[in-house]
Amino acid sequence: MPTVPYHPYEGDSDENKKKSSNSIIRSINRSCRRLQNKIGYKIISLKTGLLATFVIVFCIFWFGDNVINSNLSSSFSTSGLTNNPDSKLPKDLINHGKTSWFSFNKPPKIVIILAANEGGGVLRWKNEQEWAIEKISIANKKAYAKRHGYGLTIKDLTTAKRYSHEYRESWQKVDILKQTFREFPDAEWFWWLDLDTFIMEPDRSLESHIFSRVDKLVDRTLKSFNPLGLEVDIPFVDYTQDMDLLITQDCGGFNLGSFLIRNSDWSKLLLDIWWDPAGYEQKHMIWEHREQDALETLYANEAWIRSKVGFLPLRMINSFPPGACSEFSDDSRYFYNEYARDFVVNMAGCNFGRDCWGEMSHYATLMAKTNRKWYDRLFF
Amino acid sequence: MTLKPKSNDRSRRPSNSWPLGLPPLTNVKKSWRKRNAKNLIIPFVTLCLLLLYLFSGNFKKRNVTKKPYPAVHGVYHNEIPASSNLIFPQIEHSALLKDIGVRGLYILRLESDGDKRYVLKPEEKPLSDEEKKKITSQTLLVKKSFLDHGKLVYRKSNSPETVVVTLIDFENYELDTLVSIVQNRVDYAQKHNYGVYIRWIQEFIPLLENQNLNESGSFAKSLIMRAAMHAFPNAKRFIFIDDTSLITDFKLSVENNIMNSNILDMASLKDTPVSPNSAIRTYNNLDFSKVSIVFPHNQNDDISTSTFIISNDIYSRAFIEYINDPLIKNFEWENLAHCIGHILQWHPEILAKTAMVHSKFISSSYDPNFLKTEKPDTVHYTEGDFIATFPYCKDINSCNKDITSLYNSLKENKK
Repeated sequence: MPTVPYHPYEGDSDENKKKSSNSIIRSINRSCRRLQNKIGYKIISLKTGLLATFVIVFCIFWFGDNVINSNLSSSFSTSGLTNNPDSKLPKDLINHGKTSWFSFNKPPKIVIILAANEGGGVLRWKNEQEWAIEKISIANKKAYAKRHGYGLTIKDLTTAKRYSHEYRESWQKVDILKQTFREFPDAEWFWWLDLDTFIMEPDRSLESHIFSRVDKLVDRTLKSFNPLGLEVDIPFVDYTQDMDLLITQDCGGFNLGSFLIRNSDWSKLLLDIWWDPAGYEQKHMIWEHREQDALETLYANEAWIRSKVGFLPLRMINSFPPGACSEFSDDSRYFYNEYARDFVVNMAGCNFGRDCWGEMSHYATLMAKTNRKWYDRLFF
Repeated sequence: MTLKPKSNDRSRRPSNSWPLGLPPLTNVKKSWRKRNAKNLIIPFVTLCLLLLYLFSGNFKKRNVTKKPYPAVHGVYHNEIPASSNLIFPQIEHSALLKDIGVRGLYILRLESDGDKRYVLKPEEKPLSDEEKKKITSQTLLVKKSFLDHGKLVYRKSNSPETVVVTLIDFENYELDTLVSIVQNRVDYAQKHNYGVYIRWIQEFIPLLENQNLNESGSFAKSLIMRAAMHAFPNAKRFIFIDDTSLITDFKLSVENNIMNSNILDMASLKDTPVSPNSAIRTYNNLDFSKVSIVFPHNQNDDISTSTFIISNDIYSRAFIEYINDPLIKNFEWENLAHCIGHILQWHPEILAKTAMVHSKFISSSYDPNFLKTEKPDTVHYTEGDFIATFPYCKDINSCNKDITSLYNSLKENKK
């Protein structure tokens, strides 16, 4: 008998156990399902909103990537040159948008060279306005370089005895470039800026403004704009090569107030060739703009140089205030246009009868005005 | 007796929805009908974007419009593809060319400053074979073939690695000598599968500011080197051999016996003044595997241009084009060597790619008397040297005799 109740009991308890375990599972299942349903319904009710957010985020990443990525690669990979091993794709430039998020300590790929302290007060006193201009100009480039992760090096243009002749002084620029090339061996591009320049659109990166569409912007053949009347077609010029020097032309010829030069063997060779006493001997009374004229002559006659030079429209990186190139005041190609939001203004020659300080403070104020954001109003 | 909640558990009802809120297929139609156009906009836009994203790669490639830049051309705008990698003029024309003279070959233009200059017509089209057949005058045919010779360029896929470049002169050489010079280069080039680029020195007269070849003729060397680089764009290096020189040892190859970094290291002059009495000295620690330019020093420790090598790279191209820049070329140099000495002293980037070598390495001076009596030195020719040159034959007017006799003795030796 004792065994009789035991078995059914056991069976019973087993069943009970099963039942109870089943019920636990079921209740878990049920709550799971409820939860799932709740989430499901939430998703159903919010799906349009979610989809819209996803699409917007996707678009931001897609287009944001594109500006830097695809255009850059297309513009730089056009070169079909085989016998120039140095012209490789600047990969770091292409991936700039991506890598800069993670790499804070990497050497900059673009370095701005700012030529400051012109004259350095050696031959005459530096007045307070000059000090102020210098301060504003440096602050402007510093903020720009910081914003986009570029390097900035400020170079001293003090008049020095080693440039014993006034004519030779202009080649200080070349010496500074050589020095900076050694200083930043990992940089891809250098952007030379004179002190009298002002970046008017600091939120524009050089990648999006220049490099991503450089092929569309540049004129390499001088056909569209040739103020010097140089020979357009010279032998041995190979336009399939990558450009290593991006400069602008103003009404009087090449303008070296703001230009971009790639860190390459070609550039080093150009900097080396640029100064030659044979040129000085023949031309120091003729070449008014010294190193600019020397470069013009090299460009005019030597195909290896012409093959790698591109001319940007002046207003891309070097627009003028109305005082410069005043004989051509109707030509809109030269002058800063507030409504077109030109990138950089170069107050070239402002110390020849114009008011440097006036121009600098005008453009600094204008920059603050044009770059005012809607949320600035909340604070002021 | 299992617990079966009736109405609470909505998941059991298949009609309502699936766990994650997706309607079962039976409901699709219904919900489809229920939806109005407003609700369809966002999914539609998403689909479009997705498709656009997937295919955007294809669009972009098509959208890249390259600006049509003019193609590379040489001094002449029209070019003739060469059938063989041995480019040399028709030497048998030399006598007729001498008769026609430079004055008859070019247009002599009177400049505004009263100077008379020979000018070149870069746009001139080369004669086609048919036109050539029509020409009956032998003189005109010779003249045209002279003017068209510079238009030859080698564009075939199997480019030679090395090109032998030489300038020949129909005014100062006899036909026998010209044949010896050209045959010597061609035989050597064929043995090593090199290219040959030989042109008349008179072809370069219009490109020189001073059009007297006796004074500025050496600058034709840099002009022909640039033309050779254009004619053989895929060659690796170019060796210029003067018309007063002959290749004496055909066994030696340029890439193995000259440009080999170890051999170049041994043959080069280190820490030596670039030109006599110069403060600038050649580098002590040159990377010989990256040498682009090779020049020999002559017995006066000055740069010799009788034989030199340049490579098809940015350094050589810049170097040659810099010499050819009128600003440099037209300066008051004594000769090409003087100009090169200046460039190497003032431009360290170029000097850092230049090897200065002993004369005997690529340009031994040939002196039959020396061969018999003296001990070998670093200047004079002994058997087994690569190239023999007669550095003073032009001064004593013995080039024709010297070259033909050396050429014949080399031929006999080979037999």
